[in-house]
Amino acid sequence: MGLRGNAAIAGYVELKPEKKPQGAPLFSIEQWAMLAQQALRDAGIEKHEVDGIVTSSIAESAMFAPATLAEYLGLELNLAEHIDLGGASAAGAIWRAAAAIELGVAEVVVCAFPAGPMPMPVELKPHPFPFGASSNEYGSPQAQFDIPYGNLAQNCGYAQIANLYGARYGYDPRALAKIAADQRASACANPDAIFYGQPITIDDVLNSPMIADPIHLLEIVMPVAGGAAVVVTSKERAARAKHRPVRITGFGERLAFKTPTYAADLLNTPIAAAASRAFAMAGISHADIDMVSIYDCYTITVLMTLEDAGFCPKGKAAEFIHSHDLSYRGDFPCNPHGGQLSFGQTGMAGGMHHVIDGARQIMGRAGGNQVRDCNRAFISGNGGIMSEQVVLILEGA
Amino acid sequence: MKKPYPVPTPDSRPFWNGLAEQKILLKHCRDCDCVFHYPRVTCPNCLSSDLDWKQASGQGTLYTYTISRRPTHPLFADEVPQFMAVVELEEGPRITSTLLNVPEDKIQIGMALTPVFEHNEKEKITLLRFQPADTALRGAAPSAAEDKPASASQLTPEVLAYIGRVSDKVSGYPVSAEEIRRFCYATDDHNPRYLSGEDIVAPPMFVSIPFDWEVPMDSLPEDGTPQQNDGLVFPPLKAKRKLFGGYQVEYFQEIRPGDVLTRQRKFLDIYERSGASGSSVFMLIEATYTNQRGEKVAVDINTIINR
Repeated sequence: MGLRGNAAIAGYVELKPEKKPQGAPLFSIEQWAMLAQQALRDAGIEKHEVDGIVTSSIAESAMFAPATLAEYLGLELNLAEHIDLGGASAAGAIWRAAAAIELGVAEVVVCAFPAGPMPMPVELKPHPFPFGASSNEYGSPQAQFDIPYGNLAQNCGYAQIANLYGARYGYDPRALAKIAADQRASACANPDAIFYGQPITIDDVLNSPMIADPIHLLEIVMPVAGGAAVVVTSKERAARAKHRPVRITGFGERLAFKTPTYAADLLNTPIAAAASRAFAMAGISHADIDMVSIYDCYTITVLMTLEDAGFCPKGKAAEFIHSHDLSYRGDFPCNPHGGQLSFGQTGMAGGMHHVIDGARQIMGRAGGNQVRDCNRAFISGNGGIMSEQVVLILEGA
Repeated sequence: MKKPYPVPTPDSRPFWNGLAEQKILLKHCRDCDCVFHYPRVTCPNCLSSDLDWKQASGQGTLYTYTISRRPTHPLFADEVPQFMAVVELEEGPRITSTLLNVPEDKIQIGMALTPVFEHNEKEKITLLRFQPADTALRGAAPSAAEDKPASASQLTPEVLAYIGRVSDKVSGYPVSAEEIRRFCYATDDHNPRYLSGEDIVAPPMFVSIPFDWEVPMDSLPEDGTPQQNDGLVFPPLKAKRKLFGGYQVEYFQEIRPGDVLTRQRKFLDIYERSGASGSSVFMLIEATYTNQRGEKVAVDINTIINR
């Protein structure tokens, strides 16, 4: 069951993140087109070969996003997918593309996630109180049962998970802080990272302001502008492209809730099911993995993923983190390009940071951040509040 | 914009009515006998719709929590620090709530909790909060004001009551070709459409000019802004420094010499943003301009930042 490894990533683009964007703003549909152009050029694949797209929501087109994009880019598609899995969307897009390619439905699929500033609407309707990922629409369960208590946005839910973890297994703030510090070490070798040139220590993390107990400021991603796209194609077409093909040999996807209050067990995250399926599908074990790129909106997300994906026993992640160097030059490279914590979180493209992190390393294109002999990568995508999980296994051809 | 309160749906109304009577009602599935929260039209265990309501004991334990030191949303700035709780009811379902009457150092995951039904007469809704069941653990949480003076919210109920208040309707001085020319020369705008010919019009940004009355220096308001005579009083804020935070206008009609514009202003919104250096209060003031024929000429929104 599952993928046979006959689809591969052939190229990608990841824009340099910007805190204060300098260029002219583009509509998301325009950004999509530019990202597709750059990713296809990177792969060395022609536009007329594209017969599939996977996209997140497009600001200018609440409905019919894929058709609008097909028309705008001048594409004729056999696969047109709109994906809505928050931070897990990018990883989710990749396996959907790979599955369609293996089924013979499509040959070249572009998965693009724009995350740059857009021009202001002509008729500006100010909305000073966006509810973001929390729905305050009439009839939405959150609007009725969660938002009136102030339970919205992300910090709170992740902090509740961290506190619950602490009550059950003990909380080692220095281990959590080390995740941020090690990833910053990687970012300091990556000139594209938003925090390039700004090393931090464990104590810096612990001395940063407490935002929602026990989570400190430097354990939370900073939103930045950017964008990313990946080209997925057949193994055969990828072999004739510019770079070493990065095969998608396993995936798993799992979700069951939106708000942590209603999770069956907040400490057994959906990562476990997604990861075990992905490993079984790829037919490899944890020891075969050369690097991991773990969705890191918060440090606690990384810790929970390390445990639930089986890289260390439940409750033992702190020991594991203390005993390994997680930077790109370490013995357990985790987010070698800096991770979103230090590269910056580029909105919906943030999930693609991890996919590209793995592809870049396996293609051997990571420059100063290259992990030696990197052939197999574990990638996670995480949406909502650890509620939507996608895992990918990538392997060099 | 006001704080969000629950809007009951046909399916959930018994739950909210129950809270108003100090009862916690949970949906119960007559097919599989499970109880669940929040209310749904089908059982999340077996998808049956053969459901009724059961009253919960009200007793629960703290499943998990966090203390949010920054507002989870600007509308909750007045509740910081927010004691965000997930409560596991004795019957099993979990519920989103906040903790009351408990000092930070007494909060423990697993602690026994008892409900507090907080009725809001104005919103006609009762929220379900929780406090320690053990009275020895109760006590006042340090208020935001005592804890961190800099982070205490400036959005008092008194300030928030200004949202929606409107000014008097006042007329500006009549628009004249001379006044338009003065404005254009002052802004270095030499567009002939504004300056010469039979059919001159005013440049768009002219719209508010007829409402800025010259006054002697010693009659300027404390903040140095142009005198306004439309009776719109600003809310009392600790922050005294004002910063222009943006301006947007929508135009519907040209303004021509001879027009007499009438303006009415309104507090569209007041909200607070907190940062490392303290909090800023954003005031959004909307002004509607009409001409002597009663036609809407323009609507503008001014953002004023107080910090």
